[in-house]
Order: sequence, then C-alpha cells, then structure tokens
Amino acid sequence: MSDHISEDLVVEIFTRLPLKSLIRFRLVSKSLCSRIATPDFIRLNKIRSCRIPKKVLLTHEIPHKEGYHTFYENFYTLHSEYQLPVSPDHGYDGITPIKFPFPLKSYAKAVGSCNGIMLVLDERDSIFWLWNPSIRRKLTLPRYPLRNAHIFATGFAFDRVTEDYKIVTLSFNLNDYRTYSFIYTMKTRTWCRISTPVTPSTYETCKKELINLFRTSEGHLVNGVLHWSVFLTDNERRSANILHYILTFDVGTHVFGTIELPRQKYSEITTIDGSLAVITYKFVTNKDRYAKIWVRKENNTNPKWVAYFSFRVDSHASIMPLSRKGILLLKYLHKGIKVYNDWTRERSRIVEFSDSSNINDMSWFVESLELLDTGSPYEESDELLDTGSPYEESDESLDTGSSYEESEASDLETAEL
Amino acid sequence: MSSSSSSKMIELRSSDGETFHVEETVVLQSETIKQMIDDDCANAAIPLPNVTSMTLAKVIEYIKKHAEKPKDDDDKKVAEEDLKKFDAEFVKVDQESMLFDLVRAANYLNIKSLLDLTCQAVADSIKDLSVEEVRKKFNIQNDFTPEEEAKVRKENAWAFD
Repeated sequence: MSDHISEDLVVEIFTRLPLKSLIRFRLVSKSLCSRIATPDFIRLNKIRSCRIPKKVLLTHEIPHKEGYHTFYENFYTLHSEYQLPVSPDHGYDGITPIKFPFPLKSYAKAVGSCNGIMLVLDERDSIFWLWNPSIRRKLTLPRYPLRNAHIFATGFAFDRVTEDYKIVTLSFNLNDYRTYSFIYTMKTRTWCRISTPVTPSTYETCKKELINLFRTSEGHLVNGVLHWSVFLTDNERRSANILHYILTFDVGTHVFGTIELPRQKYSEITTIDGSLAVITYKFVTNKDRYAKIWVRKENNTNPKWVAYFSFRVDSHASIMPLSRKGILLLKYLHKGIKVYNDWTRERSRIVEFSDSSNINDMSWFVESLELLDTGSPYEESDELLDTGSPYEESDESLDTGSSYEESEASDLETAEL
Repeated sequence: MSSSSSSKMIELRSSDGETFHVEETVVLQSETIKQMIDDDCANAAIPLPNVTSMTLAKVIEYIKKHAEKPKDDDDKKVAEEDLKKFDAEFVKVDQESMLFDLVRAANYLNIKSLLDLTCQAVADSIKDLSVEEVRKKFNIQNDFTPEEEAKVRKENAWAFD
C-alpha cells in the first residue's frame, strides 16, 4: 500500500477546510483545482458548513463627500455571534474586511442573501448581481425584462426540490403604470413573468401605496417560502383602512399567498430557530416600547402564532434576535449597533472598525463555495468607479446569459394577454 | 463493561499477519466488514490486506470505545463528553503517517465517524500551509504552467495573504 493518500481522500479532506485555505489549495494541481469547483464538491461543502453555526455579518460604511453628494463605500466583516466586536482593544483581531465590489457611485446595494450568496441590485438601472463575499466571486444576471421599472420587493431563495436558486421580484413598470412579477432561476438563466399577488383588498387602487410601503423590502425564507411584511392603505391613507399582513411566495410552486399577523399592526419579520417569527411593538413612552416576538407554530391543520418573548426596548431600534433567548442585536439609525441582554439589561456597544467607518446593518450569514463554478473572480484593489452598464461590452454574463432577448419578447407577449 | 452478553467473536487479520479478536457487535461499525459478515464470508479470519497491525489496533481501540452504551440518560451526557475527549486525544498521534494510515483504514473499512474525525484532523493540520507544502505532504506534482499558476494566484490574491 502506498504511503500516500489517494486523490479521492485528499478531496475528502479538502471538503473540511476553511474556504480561504480551499481557494488557495486549488493551486496544488489542475485536477484538484477543477474538482473543488464541481457542483458536487460545492454541495458537499454546503452540507458540511450547515453544521457550523451561522455567523453575524456586519455592514460598515465610510462616507465620501463630493460637493453636495455623499457616497458610501461599504465593506463587511463576519463574526461568530459569541465573539462580536464589543471590546475596543481587540474587537476585529484576525477579521479581514471584505470590500463591496461594486462602483462607489452606483446604486448597487445588497437586497437579500441565501447560502452565502448576496443578491445585489442596482436600483436605478435594474441590474442584478449575485456575489459570494467569502470567496470573492460575482455573477451578472441577464438583463431585467423591464427597462424602465421600479423593483420594490425582492426575494432570493434556494429551492431544495429542484436544487436551484430563484429570485422573485415585484416591480412597477413606469411605462404602463402596472405591477409585474418575475422569477429568475439559475438553471434556466432566464427571467419569466408570473402572476402578481392577489391582495386582500383591491390591488390596483392601492398599488401606489404598496410601492411606497414595500420599498427596499427583502423576503425572509423559511421552509421554502418567502415572507414579506406588507401594509396597504387606500389612496387617502385613512387609518381605518390600513391592512397589515404577510405576503408569501412558495419557492417550489411559484404561487403567492398571505398569512395573517398576530396583531393588525406594524410588524417586522424575523426567524427563531428556523421558524417564522414576527416582532410587534407597543409604545410605552416616546423613548421606549414593548416588543413582543411571536413564533409561527406549524401544526398540520392549524398553524398559529405563539408568544415567545417580550421585552422593553428603545424606540427606533431595529431588532435581530440571536440564538440564545433574550439576547438581541439592536440597531440604531446612524448610531451603531448594541448587543442587548434582556436578562441582565446590559447593553454592549459594538465598536467601529475604524475612526472613519460606521456600522449600519447586521444580518445572518453562512460561508459557502457557491458561485465558484459559475461566477467570476475580481480584484479587490480595482478602483470601482466605472459605472458603465455590464451589458454593453461582450462580457461573460451575456455569453452565459443565453436567451435574454427571446425571453423578453415572450414575457412581454404574455404581459399583453 | 461492554460484554454484557456473549457476543460472537470475529477474527481480523492485518496485512502483516497478526490476528485480532473483536466482538461482532463492535466490528459492525465497519460497513465493509458488516457486508462480509452479511455475505457469510466471515467464518474464517477476515483478511485486511490494506491495514497494518499497528493501524488496526488503533482502529479497534476506536470502535470499542464507540460501542460502549450508556446505562441511563445521566450517564449518556457524561458518556458523550467522555467520547468527545477520547476523540480529541485519539487523533493526537505522534506521527503524521499514522494519521494518514487511519484515514486510509477508515475509508477502506468504511467507518464513517472515524473517517470524519481523521479527515477533519488532517484538514485542521494543513489549513495554514502553503501550496508547496501541501503538494509535498500529499506527494502531488504541480502540473500548472507558470503562466496558469500566476493567473490563479492573481485572481485569488486575497487567499494568499
């Protein structure tokens, strides 16, 4: 028996490596290089990484003033939830910031994430990218079917049945003032039009409201279903006619639906231990309010909301529950993020990465190898100031993007039916 | 403590001719041996031409430990902790070649948890190595041309810091 390990076993060992080592070791040999990028290896690595606890992704921004305009340069850091940077002395030791690889002056921003891939949207030009920050790969998606649209809700999900990534959008067409929904699937690489959601009240009369209230809304994926918190009013915004509910989208069947909220009022969607949850609020004073977390218990016949945890918390703070009950992240507008322990009532401020940067968001994130096979690498040192459209030059997104033109034509034909 | 009932003994023979007697219930953790027993090929000593006596002794130590059954729920927690400690110590071997032998043996005998444990131990030990060191460790020839190598390095510069 040879003293050396067969390539199959080397691959077996490699699936257990951290991503950074793995990307480096692609240089060991050509055959290992290609095996690491096979869909099988990527999937195996995804299964392995499911055992690793999710991490907290912090978004940082550095403002750049130019005349009257301020541009924000974004970067990200990834932390174990039990090692958040709350100590000024060594908060970011060993943590490498990841630069947002999109032009500073563009309108690109992250609008969702799934299995370690971020969905990035340029709101002005309706351009979508997929970006895997852990391995620095990105992919430009084929052009959005509507040229002159306002995309007001997005959902990004993995369909476990077809093993495919899907993006669903709700958008307002500024040419005919109608709402259109599209779905993009990674395997077909095309956008297809689907029926827009039917809402509990007359949709067309309140669509303008819907757009405003949906603004920047990203869907939360729980058990193959995306969820958005929605509220509708009539055009006069009479408070008696406000309707709050959850809009759902089944990633397998492509059908929209609705779920009633535990209380008919403003609610934020979150997840607790992989279950759908919402947070409702009740103001106590101007400065603080009661927040209550409800978890959706899915009985076979009779799903219902169960109160999980309530606590008193500052107004104007967004909440992200961590894994341990009673431990939360609180985000204050322009004032950073604190870790809050409701048992001790202690608040610990997460320290800024540098004097010039501010933390402006938090979310759950997993590291994965996704896009290693389909995305393209980029250099971090690039001056990302060029805002040219990715579709004008013969770049790879068009080569791989296949039948955008035909799909647009057929989509718009169906649109007219 | 594990031999509560009179379990059937299975005889294993290593590549260097040494024989080991192990209870059937213990040895069933190896899918390969289980298959042989199911196929009725285990009446005489089972030859394991790919495993040396030194490695086989280690493997048997591992499967024996993992075959111990806790008596009650309290015991179960203690046993789990104990097993974790055992696993951590088990892969602390003096020579790397031993760890590689264990990886190969776990793969050949198809003992999933042992393969998991040993592969993870190797992965942990190589994660900070350079590409050249990894090639040397696994005896892999570099078949990239200098130009190809430069391209991959440039595209993934962040991983080579």
